[in-house]
Amino acid sequence: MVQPIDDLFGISSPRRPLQVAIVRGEVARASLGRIDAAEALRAPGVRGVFAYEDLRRTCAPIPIGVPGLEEARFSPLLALSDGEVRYPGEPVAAVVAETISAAADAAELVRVSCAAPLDVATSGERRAFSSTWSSGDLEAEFRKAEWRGTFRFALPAEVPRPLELSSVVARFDPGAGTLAALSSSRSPHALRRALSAALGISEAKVRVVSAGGGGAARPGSWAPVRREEILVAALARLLAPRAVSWTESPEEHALAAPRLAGAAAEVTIAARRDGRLLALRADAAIEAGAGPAAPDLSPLRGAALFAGPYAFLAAELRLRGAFADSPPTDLLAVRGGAFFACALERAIDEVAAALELEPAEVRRANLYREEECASATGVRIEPPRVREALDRLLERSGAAALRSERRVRRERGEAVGLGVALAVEACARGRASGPSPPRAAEEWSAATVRVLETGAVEVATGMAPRGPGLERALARIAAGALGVAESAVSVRFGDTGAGPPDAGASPGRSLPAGGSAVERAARAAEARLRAIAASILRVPEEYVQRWGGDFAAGDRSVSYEEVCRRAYRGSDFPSGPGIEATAYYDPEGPAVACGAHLSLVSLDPETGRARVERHVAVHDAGVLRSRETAEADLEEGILRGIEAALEGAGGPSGSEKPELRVAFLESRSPGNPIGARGIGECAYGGALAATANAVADALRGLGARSVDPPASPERLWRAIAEARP
Amino acid sequence: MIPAPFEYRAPVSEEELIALLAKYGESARILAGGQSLVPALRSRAARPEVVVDLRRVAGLHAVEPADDGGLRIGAMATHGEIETSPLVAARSPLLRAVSALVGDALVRNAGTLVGSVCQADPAADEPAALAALDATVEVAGPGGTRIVKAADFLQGPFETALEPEEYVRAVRVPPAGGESAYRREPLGRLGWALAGAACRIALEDGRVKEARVAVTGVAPRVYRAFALEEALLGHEAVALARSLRAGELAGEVVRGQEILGDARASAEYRRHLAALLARRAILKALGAAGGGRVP
Repeated sequence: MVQPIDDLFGISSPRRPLQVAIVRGEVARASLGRIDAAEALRAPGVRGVFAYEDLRRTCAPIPIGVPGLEEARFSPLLALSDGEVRYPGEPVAAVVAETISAAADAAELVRVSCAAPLDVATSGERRAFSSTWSSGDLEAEFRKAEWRGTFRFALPAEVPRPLELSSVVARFDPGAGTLAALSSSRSPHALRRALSAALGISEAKVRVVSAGGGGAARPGSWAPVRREEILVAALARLLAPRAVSWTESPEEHALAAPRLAGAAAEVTIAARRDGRLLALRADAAIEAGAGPAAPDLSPLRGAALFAGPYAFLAAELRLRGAFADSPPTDLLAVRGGAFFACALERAIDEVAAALELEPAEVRRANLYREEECASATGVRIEPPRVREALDRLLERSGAAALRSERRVRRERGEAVGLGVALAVEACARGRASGPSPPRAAEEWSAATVRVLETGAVEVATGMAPRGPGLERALARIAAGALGVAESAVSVRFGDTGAGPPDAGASPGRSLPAGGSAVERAARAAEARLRAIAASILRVPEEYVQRWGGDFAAGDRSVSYEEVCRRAYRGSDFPSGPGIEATAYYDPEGPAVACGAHLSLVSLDPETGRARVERHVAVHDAGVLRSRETAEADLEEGILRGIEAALEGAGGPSGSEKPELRVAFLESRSPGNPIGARGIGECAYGGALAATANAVADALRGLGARSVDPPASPERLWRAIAEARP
Repeated sequence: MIPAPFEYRAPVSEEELIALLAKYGESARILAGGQSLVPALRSRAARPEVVVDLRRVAGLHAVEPADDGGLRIGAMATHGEIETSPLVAARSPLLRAVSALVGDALVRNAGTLVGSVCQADPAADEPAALAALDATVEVAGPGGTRIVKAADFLQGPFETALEPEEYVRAVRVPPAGGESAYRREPLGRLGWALAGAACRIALEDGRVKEARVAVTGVAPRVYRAFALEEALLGHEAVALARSLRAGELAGEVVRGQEILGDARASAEYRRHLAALLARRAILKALGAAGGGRVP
């Protein structure tokens, strides 16, 4: 049995966890001088002040490798700065005290001297990595093309704004030599591996429980490992048996939390004058901040579909990353691949405008055909589904009528724009494909299903909790496979002490990968139930059928409850007592989600304010477990995309919430046994691209140049003002 | 984060409040709805020795009619109470409308109008409306009560005419003469005004008899655009609307003001917005005051 987590940390005991306040550096690229903690150590309630030297024997650096990148030289993951402050907000010391207030008060008394920036003179790009991928004969296609154009697109780095911030509590038991941590990380197994490596404790003696939090679409901590978590675990080891805890403050989050990387791309497209797209070159520069925030994050993963669903004959991706004096970044996917999708979708609109073609038609005409087997990057994405999504979108949104509405309103002097975009996302990627790198860590999912003597069902998954929607969906999948009521199933998330290793939760993989593992484990458990029923009914297994909850053969039957009881209390088990099964699910191919988006935007040319009046989306999200959850997920993704397109940190206020219309195609994904596909992340990219296209269209109507997201009122106002003599 | 240590006092009467403020002076901060002070405490930007909570002080909560036909709004009346008060809707539709623009429902249910005035955020909405409405601030202290015009009370960014031992008991809004309007450009999801303009126009025989224009968000303080107010006086409404549309008088909106430029918006854009929003607010008020005659 798993020990209740509260007891592990003594959270309810009179001696509550010690609290940590982190002292952070203030200037970038400065060499760290003396840390004077004398005054802080005399402050009431303080149990210690720790710098890098104090932790060096307890806590080793974790090397950060990123598979598939050339010239990558990243600093290892360190609990505290080892002598250089690379970005403002980098942790340099930790104050441990009995209460949060005592720790915060004492942290203000720590004096840190930083020498002047190490190399202010060094300007220009500090190269972090590079990578190139190509297919087809790019030069030949460019040479013979009737038309070619280059388009620039950029998205700034983004600080995620979660509903709940990061938090961790850890405790080391010196007697047993075990470490336990409760964390907001959504990848408990990756965090366990990191803590084990940093502290030199056997992985089997480390238990990590993911407390989740932050909601599905706005996670508190997307990073699988945060350096603060390693710091807290190291302090717990030094201060054992006391538990040690840290909770991020909003100020710390804004200053130093890992960011979603920003990027700029130059997209060159070769085409025929009739709109046939021939070749694509994307030259992208990624702003890596201080480097990857954790091991195994690769920008190449988000690039798996950089050529979208289009049948380019040749495609090339050139990536380079540069360091900046800002916190570490996800790198992972440059906003989950949304960057590449948006750059391409914007470029296609520019191609359509230059060739005077209808943007939606250019898209439809260039979707690759089924017999071509795969997209330009080699990922199979079921083009008929994309085509259907686009056709349904144009029909549902009344695109033809909207185009005449746009004409009429423009004649009246209004500034309006229409934008269409397609979004494809490879969820739960599984094995490498296209520019995707070889796998570095587990990308599979695993689950254990245990049927108890009373018939109650326990499901343990390595996925982290992401809200009640996922919990219900997983319970429903297990209940369906076992033939029991959903209420009989309870799901335990993200506990390395309870569930098998799993990559954890990340956008678009919870259901396709995590749900598939649960389904397989539940089917294996059901097979054991069936075997026991067969032995009770004295028939071969293949004669056993399910009638309601019962197991039946001919006119004889035995209830589900009786089979469960006999599995534990019988004497002649066909294959040992108990009913438990663990299944690992390694996706055979990506569960590709796709969607088509249309956005109607109006501008106030005088203030520069853009407003999405209407947004329509048709998504193929695979087999839906809960329409309500799926719709909420889709709408949240769309609203986040609109926010990113129009105002970055701001976004549509309640009163300005656009009219949203969403629909699902619900086709079974061939990529996994439950036919699921991701939703929210794909919707984010699609909505961002469609809104950006609509803004560009409105600006084009005014004769103004386009503006990169976020299209803030001032930037739009300037673009409009420039166009007016 | 966690606030630096402070002492908490919750007086139950104004006498006790006055005594506390006299004792602690500048080392005390007054807590009303807490929407500005509590975040400042948590980030340690504010580090008062004593926090004096007005919650239990009797007699500060009312939104009541004043004898002159106007309103008297107590220090503890929330934006939400003002937004939903039928009395405010009847006597000052502008104040009601502007209160509804503050933050979100959670902020409006806790934050107070007087708190916003005392915070003197240069980008707050309500102070602009109060300045255009000729509202006054009832300042109480050991020496008795003094009445200060709202526009004079707001002195700089987060600076008011309040002395350390004083507090604001209420805001008084006189009966509104003429028609009023407020136009703003919000900053982000729950943002303050990037720029906003409140105005009140009274006509007599089709000509502007009285004009008030107050601007927020663009300068270090919410200010009255006196040059513009003067320029509006005496104009025939229809002709005035026409010349405003033609962009005349735009320069008067920011005359003599130091216009801010920062990461959120340049001074050039703020200057443009101030003129634009003032024009829109004036045109709206003119239209209402002209009873359909002004296009």
